[in-house]
Amino acid sequence: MTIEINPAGTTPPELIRNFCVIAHIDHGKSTLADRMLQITGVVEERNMRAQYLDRMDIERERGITIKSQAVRLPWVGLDNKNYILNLIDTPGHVDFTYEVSRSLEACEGTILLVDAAQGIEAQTLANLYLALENDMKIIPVLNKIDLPAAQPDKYAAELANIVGCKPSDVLRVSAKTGEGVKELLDLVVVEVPAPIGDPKAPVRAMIFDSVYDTYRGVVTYVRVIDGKLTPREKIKMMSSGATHELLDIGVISPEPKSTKGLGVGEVGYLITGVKDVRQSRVGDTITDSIKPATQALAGFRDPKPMVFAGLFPIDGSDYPLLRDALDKLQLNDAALVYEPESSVALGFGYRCGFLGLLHLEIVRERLDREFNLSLISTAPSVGYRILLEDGQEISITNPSEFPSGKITEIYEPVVKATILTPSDYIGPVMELAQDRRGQMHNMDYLSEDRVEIRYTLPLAEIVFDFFDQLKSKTRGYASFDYEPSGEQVAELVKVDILLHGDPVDAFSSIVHKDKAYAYGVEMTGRLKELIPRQQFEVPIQAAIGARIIARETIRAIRKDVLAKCYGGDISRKRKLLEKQKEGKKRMKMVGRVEVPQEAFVAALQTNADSASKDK
Amino acid sequence: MAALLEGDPAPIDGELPNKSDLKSKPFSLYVHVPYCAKRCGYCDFNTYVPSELDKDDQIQSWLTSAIKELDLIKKVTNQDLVIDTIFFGGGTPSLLEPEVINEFLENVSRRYSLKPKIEITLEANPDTITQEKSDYWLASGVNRISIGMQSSTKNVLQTLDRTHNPENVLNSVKILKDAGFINYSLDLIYGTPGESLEDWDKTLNDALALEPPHISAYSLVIEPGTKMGAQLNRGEISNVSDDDAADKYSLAEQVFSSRKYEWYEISNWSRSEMQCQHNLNYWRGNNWWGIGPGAHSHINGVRWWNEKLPKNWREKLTRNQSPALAREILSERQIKDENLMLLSRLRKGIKSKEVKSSARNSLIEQGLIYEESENIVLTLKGRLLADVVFRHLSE
Repeated sequence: MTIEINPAGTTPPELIRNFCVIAHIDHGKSTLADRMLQITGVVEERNMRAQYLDRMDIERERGITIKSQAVRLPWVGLDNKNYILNLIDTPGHVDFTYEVSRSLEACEGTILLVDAAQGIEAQTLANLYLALENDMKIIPVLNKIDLPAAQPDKYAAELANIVGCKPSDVLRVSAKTGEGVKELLDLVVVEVPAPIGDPKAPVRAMIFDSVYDTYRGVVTYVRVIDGKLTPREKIKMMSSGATHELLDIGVISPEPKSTKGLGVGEVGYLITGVKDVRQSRVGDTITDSIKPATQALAGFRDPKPMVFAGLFPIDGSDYPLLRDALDKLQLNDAALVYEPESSVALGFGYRCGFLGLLHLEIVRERLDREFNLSLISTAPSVGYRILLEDGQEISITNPSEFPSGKITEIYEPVVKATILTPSDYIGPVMELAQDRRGQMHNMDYLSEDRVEIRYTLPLAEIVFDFFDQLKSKTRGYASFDYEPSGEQVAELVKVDILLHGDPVDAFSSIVHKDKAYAYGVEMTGRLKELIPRQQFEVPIQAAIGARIIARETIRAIRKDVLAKCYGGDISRKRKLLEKQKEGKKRMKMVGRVEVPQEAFVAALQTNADSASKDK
Repeated sequence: MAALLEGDPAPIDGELPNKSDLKSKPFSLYVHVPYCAKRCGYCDFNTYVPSELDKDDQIQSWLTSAIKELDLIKKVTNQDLVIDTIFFGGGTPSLLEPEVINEFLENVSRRYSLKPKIEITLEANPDTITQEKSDYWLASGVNRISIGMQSSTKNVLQTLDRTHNPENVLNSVKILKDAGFINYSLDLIYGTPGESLEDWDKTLNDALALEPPHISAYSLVIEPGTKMGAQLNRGEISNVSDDDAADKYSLAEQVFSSRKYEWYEISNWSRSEMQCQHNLNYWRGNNWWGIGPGAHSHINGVRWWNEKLPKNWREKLTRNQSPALAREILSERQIKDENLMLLSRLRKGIKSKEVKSSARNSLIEQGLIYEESENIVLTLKGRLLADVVFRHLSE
């Protein structure tokens, strides 16, 4: 254990370096963090485990980081001074752009970490642009140089081109073997500017992460900008005005350690006893309640759900469990919103709002894994703003809310998308984007054979199976990132699916008018395969309002009888009929049509599955 | 072979919870002869070819154990019963030496009185019917032969793995008639993969040309675990659609009724008074004891089934134990359901007043049943959807 020369709360800002790492999934960020923990001596060899900082099982298994964490590393610089390096981990996915931006805000510099065998990915690029907008110092680094497939020269040139440096300035490391990591830490000291702040001013600290812990309640991670936070002080959240007492304040190194406070430029955690992360929101400014700052730090915003889906328990009796589970998840997920919803086809469930598709998938997976809930999810949709002829304006997040009256205009959310692809696949990528109503803005060659293409795309067009399609059209080579970018007017219609004349709410969808027919044909065809024949002919129709756009027919069943029923058949036959009767109880009635729950599940799962595969 | 049924353990001595009033209902014997020269591709019955059996369990050893089971019946029922009908099913009962059948029937007569004009049926493969056997059968008391004709189309018989030539059926019927059999039935199967509607029409007409007093027609069910089931899995044959089966059933009904055969059960047609009394006993919920490996029995709301393997069946009987494998004691509700399920299959139908009027009206409206005097009866559409009707009725 190293003895800290400048304990937290008293570290002079000029000896502090706050930095983060921008990297794509699998490019080795967690391994690099592991190596830094080891080299700086904060984790002893025997206590080391892979991906030390990633706490949740899902994170470790999927190799992604959902929640960031900050770790304080002591480091003796080349000038022999005792520095404190705060490594602020950033979430690595598209849905968490806002959290990334707050993590970046807490730093003065960032390591741009790129796999030397793969080159930069769209998401990394998007985060890099964020960092550049923040005027951060960028340290380009190629990782995995130990890999046989590594092409460090090629990708160093690419990185240099993007960052605007010389290829020789790109540091080459292997987080796995530790090669170059020492040099990297030295470089951080030299390159990353020291934090600047007013130690005399009223305290201002920015929340860049907030995590619920079963034992301690909400743990809030902050970066102090001005002044000093001290234990037992009463603090105030500047967005809400809520005040809390500081029960504990400290740093992570890499286990939590209480300190006498946090001063200018320092990074650490605090605990106030609140139980819900929504009371301690990312981006918010913390100040002293008695001597408050007058101006909050810029950049706070409420997480805004972008993607919506209905979650329904497959077993209706699980509904209360689902409610409890969502309540629990929300303690640690300020972005998750939900409200009760009932569906003719699927029974009782919740309409949930998510930051994006991955967020949806993570929530679903946690509900399944941690709460053992079998769920069916409706196809993801987005929110729309609709102007009615009578001048009224409404916002909807569920096709069932689509107005039946005259509509003047519909606005749909759009995103700015960045696609990186090997140049061989430009054609298929453009075809796909065009098919999804994308508008291309520009195309840049990052290197000879890699291209960055920028689009504006309707969000609704990418929540479906865009990732999958992109991957399959580029043999997995393309990468993709997006950020919300306002809204646009679009010619959208609601397509209803009618079973024997009765609408099946779970299948209603808001689609572009040019795609309504394809959607109708697809859904009616799928349902025809899934719904058993009834005693009468059942038309399955797709309709826009009263206009039928597609139709399939389930012909009436003509035979449902066991031909042989003699002495030895009776018991078996009776049991079979008893089972059928049981099965009938589980049927959902849509008008006069009996539909097995499994048919709804199967019809929806095809959507959900294709939309939720690994991006 | 079909999966084993689940049931409760059967008592070792074969005792029954309720043996009262056994004489108030017809009491039949079913006799299972589980041997075949070759197994047919669709067969999921409890049957064995010689190579599958030990020396001690070949067809020759059947009689000794069957007689032991007759003794068990006597011991368990402990009453002087009048046997209403006897039915030798299989397997291929016609493979038994006629002397064995004779001796078995003599053993029955020694223990019980037989109803006057008792119906004694024997299932026969057309290949095994000879003049000598026919004479012997008739002399032993067998008075009804059920002939497994299945089809008169060669390719269909081939798909079914039937060994006989279509011409053998013609010969068999002639032999039987010459021997003096008045009552015989032809069993037909429709819906074999590859069978056209014309094939089926030909089969129907060929069958009727033989003027049988009774005809059964079953839609083929390809069960998992059979040779055809495996062929289906491998994609060598394809399943026949329900629509095809419905068309063929409707054609059969049309052809039969035009020739004055009347349906008396969903899959059975006969000329006047030639219905199979034994099978009617099943559908009417009467009592019977099934003798032989895998045979099912029913007495006063208890159903049980014997050990399927001839070896297990034999060994239990040798130890003077009941050969039953398992049984179920039916609840009131189950008895009611079974009655609905079985009686509704019959031309006579079920008493209207035993059915909820809402279900009855709905079924009439759907054209699945009609009312006739005090009863409700399946329409042609209803016969094809009898399971739907049952599910409605038992709600």
